[in-house]
Amino acid sequence: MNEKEIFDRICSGDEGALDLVYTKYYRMMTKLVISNSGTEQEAKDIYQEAVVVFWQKAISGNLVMTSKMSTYIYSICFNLWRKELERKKRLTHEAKDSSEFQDHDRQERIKIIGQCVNDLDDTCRKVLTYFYFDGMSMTEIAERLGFANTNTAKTKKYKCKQKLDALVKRRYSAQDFLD
Amino acid sequence: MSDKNTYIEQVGAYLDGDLTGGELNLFESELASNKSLAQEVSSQKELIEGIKSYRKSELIARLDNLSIGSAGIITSSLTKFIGGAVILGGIGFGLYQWMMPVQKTTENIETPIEEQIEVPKEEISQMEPDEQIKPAKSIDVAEVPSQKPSTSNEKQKEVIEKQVVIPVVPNPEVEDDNEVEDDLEIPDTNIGTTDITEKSGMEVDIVIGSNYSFHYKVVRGNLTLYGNFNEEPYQIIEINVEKEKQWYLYFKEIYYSIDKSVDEITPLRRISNESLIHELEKVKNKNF
Repeated sequence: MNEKEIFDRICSGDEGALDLVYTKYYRMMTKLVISNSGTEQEAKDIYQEAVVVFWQKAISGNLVMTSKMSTYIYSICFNLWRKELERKKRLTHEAKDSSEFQDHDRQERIKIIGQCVNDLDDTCRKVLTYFYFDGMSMTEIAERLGFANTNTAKTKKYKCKQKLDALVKRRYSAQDFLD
Repeated sequence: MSDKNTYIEQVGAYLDGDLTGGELNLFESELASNKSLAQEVSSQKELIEGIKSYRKSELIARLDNLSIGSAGIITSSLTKFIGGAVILGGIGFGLYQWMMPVQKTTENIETPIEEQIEVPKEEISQMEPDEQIKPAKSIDVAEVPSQKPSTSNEKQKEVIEKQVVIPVVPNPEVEDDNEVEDDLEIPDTNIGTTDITEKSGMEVDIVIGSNYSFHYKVVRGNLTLYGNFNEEPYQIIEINVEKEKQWYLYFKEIYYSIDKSVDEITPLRRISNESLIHELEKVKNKNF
């Protein structure tokens, strides 16, 4: 399979093609971080994040690939790692302030929402993640999930979001009770 | 549908970018004065963030479960790298590029500038494996600066960006012995070949709005460009020749030489040497 075919498959939502890309460039990309004072774990984290960004861009249909995939992913890795280095540098100069703790609280809430998404049924999970993360249109979602039409997909999305909202509120209340 | 549902639906439409014109104005003015509406918007935003976060974790967990095995760079390709390096007549080079930010309000600020890499269309057709062998080089693609509002009262000039370039110069001698498929694309990044082991740590400052319109200076290995370099993407090409690095600027389809010993603000000089331009062109096109 050549590069264009792989890219087309990724654009059509084939996660298997993403796996191929991930393994193919793993060493090349992680080396960037490791050669620039990163650990292996950091290298892996950065690369995984870069691949996810690449996926998101590709599948949303907003990405026109005019460079090689490796060049593209490399630039994402580079930027992410640079950002991480800057963050680390800032942390060494500044004491952890209250905003970080506030951020921690927020992260906790996001985590709870994530758990609730996991508790949704498969269709709801897909509708919401395809729309909000993968950036698919309602028409694409309708096609992919076999809904009768775009309106059905829209209604489904609305209901799934309501369901998620209710789940999260229940979970928050339970959490408050436990705290 | 109940009022409550309509209310929530409107918040959803607002966050999905479905409200326009009068509807949007009405909603925003209500949002500015209605605390409970603001709270609902905030909680819906978190909900969306949680959905995104879930999907991201799902994909990362998938990648995490993959076995890396033998994928990667192989030593048998090394000779090809070195061959490429000879063509370049250099030891390795780093290419640094800065691009204009994308004018998309919906773009995540964490998103790098990858979409802005300009590549000649014909490169798409160059994706055949054999043609993917690249000379020794490294590419550093800088990040889009977050454009902050200028404080014109403070200074006449406005520094819009500071970039730290950390060229990577891996030593292929210590490349792992893993094998790789024949069609493995040789990284058009980071393939240094021999004796350069230090990092350049080069930084680029852009100063606009000063008295200098198209100038530069180099102080302690850091380059400052004066002029409207925010108008179009520019590239800085760093070619590592023996024991020194030469820098070239590519801007608006013209190459300029940069003398690293110039620590006074100096006009940029266009390169007229055709063969040098040709070589730089080759280098640039092979990367992007």
